[in-house]
Amino acid sequence: MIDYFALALSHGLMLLAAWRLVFRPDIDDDDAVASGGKTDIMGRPLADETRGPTTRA
Amino acid sequence: MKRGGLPPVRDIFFAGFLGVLLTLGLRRPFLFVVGYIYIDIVSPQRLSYYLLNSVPVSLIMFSLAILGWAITDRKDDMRIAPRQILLLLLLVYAGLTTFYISDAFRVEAFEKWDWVWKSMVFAIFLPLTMRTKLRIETVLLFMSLSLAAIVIGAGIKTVFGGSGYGSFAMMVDDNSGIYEDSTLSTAAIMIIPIVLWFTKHGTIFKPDWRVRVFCYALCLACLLTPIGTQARTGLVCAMFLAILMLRDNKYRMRFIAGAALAGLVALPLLPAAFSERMGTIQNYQADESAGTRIAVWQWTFEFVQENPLGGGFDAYRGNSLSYYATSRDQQGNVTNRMITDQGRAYHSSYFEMLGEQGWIGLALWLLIHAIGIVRMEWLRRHYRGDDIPDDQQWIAPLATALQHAQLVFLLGALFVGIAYQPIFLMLLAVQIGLDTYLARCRKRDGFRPIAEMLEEPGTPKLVPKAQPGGY
Repeated sequence: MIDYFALALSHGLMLLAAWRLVFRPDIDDDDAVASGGKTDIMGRPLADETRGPTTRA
Repeated sequence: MKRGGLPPVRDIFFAGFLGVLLTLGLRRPFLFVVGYIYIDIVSPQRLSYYLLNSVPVSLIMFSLAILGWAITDRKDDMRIAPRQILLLLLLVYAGLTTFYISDAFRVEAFEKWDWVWKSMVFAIFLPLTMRTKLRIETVLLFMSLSLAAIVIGAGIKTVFGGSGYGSFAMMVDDNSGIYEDSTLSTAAIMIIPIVLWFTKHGTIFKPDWRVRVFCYALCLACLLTPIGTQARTGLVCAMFLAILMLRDNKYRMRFIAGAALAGLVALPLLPAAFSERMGTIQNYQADESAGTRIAVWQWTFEFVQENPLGGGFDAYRGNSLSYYATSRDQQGNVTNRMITDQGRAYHSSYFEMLGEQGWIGLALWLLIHAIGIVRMEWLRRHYRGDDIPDDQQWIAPLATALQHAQLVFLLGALFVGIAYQPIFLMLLAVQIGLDTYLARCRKRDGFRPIAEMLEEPGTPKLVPKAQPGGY
């Protein structure tokens, strides 16, 4: 049981980190703008409240 | 090994995890690199009953990591550090001793060579991929979390009273690689400064209360690991790390008082078996394990007098040792026992290098580590102070953490033969990666050493200003 807890916690965090890295272009290039600002728990950028909701092209 | 029927939950879990990692790697190929780090540390194929047992996961991930780097990464400003060349020389030399010198224990030598060359090739390759700050952080995060997969369980089991050297069940039944007690304890203590760095400078998981709680709890689990495994090496490493951490601590007296208080509180809670075993650090003559080590070290020293080029991997198998162990019973009577042992392992990375790769291998290995300590010290000093911009504030603390981790390893390595263990070679690779990354940044920002600038024609030479009226 303890082993499963340790495995689930560590592997869950690694998966979450990997998922967040998918949205981080600065992993391949320092100059690429990271999806800065606030993100949700999965690392996806949240809409900037001061500029209103972002729109997709 | 279980055969037939449905695959156990654990198998599906590991296969699912690797499957997701491979899929995400298609979008960000660097994830293949950290995927290999994970496999090299945790060895999920050893924890799995049959799903991953039959698939060469390690080879697949390594090939994808190389392929991803070869296809997608920039290479025009690639830097090769002197330490990578030294590691390559050590690899070639170890290969030569395996193929041409190892004689009596050729099968065992080739067994060790089989995993050593992979872990060294990866350590030489890894710095080439660490091209951005985020990649350095990602490597360290995956190293820490991979180790956490083992250490968290060890910590919790220790709290609930399960302990014992060599009998501490940690997911696998065998006691080798990172799952060997002393190796795990050294790695657990080594990772603490890196985990603490994440409490202030992480960007994947921004340091908020949740990150800090996890990191501190992980550090506690790391500290509990030597207690659970009853590995004395781990305790010595923990004390050494506490001293090292005083270097950059603003509140030294509070830190010392806190550590002393924690020690006093923890002492009565420690299992009696642990206290007894730790007591043998002072009374080492009574302990067979310590006695064997000293006898093996003496044997190794004599062995290289006759074989200065080393004996190849696992040359220790040829030793036969006799030594006295002194013990004192409860009435105070001292008894001497003659103990004879055969084929005892080195129990020290320094003697492992000396016995297997001779003076040349030991010199290369020491040089690689010495350069690491010096380079991290240089970075530590270069990137600290009030004039360092905000986006470079993470560098000096990281260089310090990597240096402390390496010093902890070098102390633990005195008592455990872990010179080629992947996680410790990865630490060297991260140091090299950080160093070459920062060198690239300095070059991009136009930094040149003063000596180089002074050599240019037309540069006014610095002349001491005349002091009117003397001092």
